[in-house]
Amino acid sequence: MELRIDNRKKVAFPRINHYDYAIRYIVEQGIGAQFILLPPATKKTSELGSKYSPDYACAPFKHSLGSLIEALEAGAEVLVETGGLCRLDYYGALQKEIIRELGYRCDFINLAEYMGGSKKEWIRLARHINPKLNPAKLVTGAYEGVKMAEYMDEIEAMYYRNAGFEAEKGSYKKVYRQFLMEMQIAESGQEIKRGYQRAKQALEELPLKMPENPVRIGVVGEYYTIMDEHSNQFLQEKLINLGASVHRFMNITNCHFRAKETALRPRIREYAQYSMGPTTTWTINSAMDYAKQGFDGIIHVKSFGCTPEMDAIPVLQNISRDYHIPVLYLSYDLQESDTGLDTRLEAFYDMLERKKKVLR
Amino acid sequence: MIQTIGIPGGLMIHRDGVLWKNFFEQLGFHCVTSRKSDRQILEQGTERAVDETCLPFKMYLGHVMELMGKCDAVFIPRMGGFKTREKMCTRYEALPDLVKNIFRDEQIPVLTVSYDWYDRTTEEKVYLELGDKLGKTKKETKKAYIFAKKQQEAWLKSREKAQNQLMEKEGTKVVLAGHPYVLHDAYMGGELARILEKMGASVLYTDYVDRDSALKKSYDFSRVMPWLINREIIGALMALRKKADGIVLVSAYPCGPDALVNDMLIRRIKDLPVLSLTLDAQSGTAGVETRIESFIDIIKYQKAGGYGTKN
Repeated sequence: MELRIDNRKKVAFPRINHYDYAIRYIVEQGIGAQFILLPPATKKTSELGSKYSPDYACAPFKHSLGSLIEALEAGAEVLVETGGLCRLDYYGALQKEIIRELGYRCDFINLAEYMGGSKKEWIRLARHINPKLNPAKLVTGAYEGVKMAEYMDEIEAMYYRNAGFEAEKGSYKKVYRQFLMEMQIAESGQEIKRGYQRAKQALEELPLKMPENPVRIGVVGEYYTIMDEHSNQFLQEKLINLGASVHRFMNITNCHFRAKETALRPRIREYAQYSMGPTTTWTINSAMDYAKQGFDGIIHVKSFGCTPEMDAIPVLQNISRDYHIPVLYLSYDLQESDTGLDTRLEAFYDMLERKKKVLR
Repeated sequence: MIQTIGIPGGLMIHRDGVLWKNFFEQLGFHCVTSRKSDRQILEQGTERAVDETCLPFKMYLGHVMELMGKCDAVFIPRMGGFKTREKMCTRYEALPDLVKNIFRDEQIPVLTVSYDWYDRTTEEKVYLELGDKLGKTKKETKKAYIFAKKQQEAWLKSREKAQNQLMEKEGTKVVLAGHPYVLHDAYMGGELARILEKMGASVLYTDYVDRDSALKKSYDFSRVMPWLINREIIGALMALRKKADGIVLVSAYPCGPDALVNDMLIRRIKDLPVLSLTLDAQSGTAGVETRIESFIDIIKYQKAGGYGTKN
């Protein structure tokens, strides 16, 4: 009998919704290491994270710390944390310290140290994880992983736009779940593409009972909380269950591969002359777009204490006044239950629906 | 036509105010500053701010309101920082637009100067642009900037010197560490200094040190920390800790950078007693007073060898 020992390094990254699958793909197919794919986050994850985090660190810090600790328990040898333009830039440094103090032994890679660095440094980093790295494979792997993220964004957008009006209950969810499952186990660019095409076609063919004027809600806000379903307590899912069509501009594709912040800024000149923070331009721009397109309402999502998004609120208040569009502000910390959110969303939805009936 | 420029007495006025004031006055403008922070200013600012925003920003809005009708333009600089690892909190990037949006009905004329770490600019260039905006010649502006910068440095030097003398004195010395606009605001850190002095401790401030050398030292602490002011605080702490008996970390609720950095500091500083205070809009200082009192007791006790930690 042949004995096969997997001696690839076990790499982990904090959960960020289904983008985990794309990251897994890049790590496994591109770098050639093993990725610790965690099961969906639970209450335990948040508890773990907040137990060891500073009190008023933002919620994404607590969620990602929770994920990292769970990954360590699952056998991760290399932890990777990213950097960014806000407090995110310091997540890695502090999380590394916390994890060391907890007594875990692992390699901790803080991407904040590599941001703005040369391509050579990134390759060296990848070599550090897998000494037998094949650079050509890394490039295709990264490209296909990014493609997967783009496909997931597209299918997700379709899902939230229409799933509220499906003729047969659960038919949309079934296709969407199947698609995510295929992405989770995909091992080649072909498989990714085929899964995407199949899902797209299936979704397009599903019968819809779309009312003439559906309630349309645009969701805007902070990068992590808005994208991570566990962090926003399945906000979009709740909204489609109420019967709304949900639109969201903020996703990886639009943020990193399409809309350039500097290109969007002239469009919001009326409200902001300068860039007001890492994601604020996107928030303001998409809120303005939704208002102009005659959406019924906007929901602003952020984690408690998120400075850049907090600074978008006065602008959103002005947009709300100028375009007569209701805005619901949600600030997430680590909540115990989601009854409060349910009540607020129901009230918001009812208000939008009634407003529609009276005005049309 | 701008003749009088108003400078709100909050946020970075406690760090760069001397520079701003001298710059404008040298160019022939009249400057007005709002009065010292007090309860009323905070209350009127709080009314206009989003609930979750930080205490110093609420105070700042109050100061802006205080200047309404008293000047032709309010000076609200947009400071992003000059380097990638020496940024400011994102609120400073948003500041002028934020104030304009909050006071849209009042139509406050805002005078601003903008720089960001990705612009790759320098302080001098930024101020030359500002002079240009105000209709002054390049020569005039440059002269004004150089003069103002000198004044600013002389002001800091004198504070530094006084603090160095204080450091050589006998007695309990406590470092107040925090953002300058928290430490020196009459309504926030001012109270703390008063309480500490009442208990017989001398107060050392983290912003009364040489900024450049503090900045350099901070890189020994962390290479990746992105915030300029926190870097200065840490660099200063490293320089002051040899002479100090204790550190009071002062933060205003809910300061983003402080939330992470102060946690890191507490984890790293093991050789000195540290008290971490978070100020919010509560009235009265009785709670803080008690905590400081017991902190001073601990220091004195330890100095006398009380807990036996030094064997």
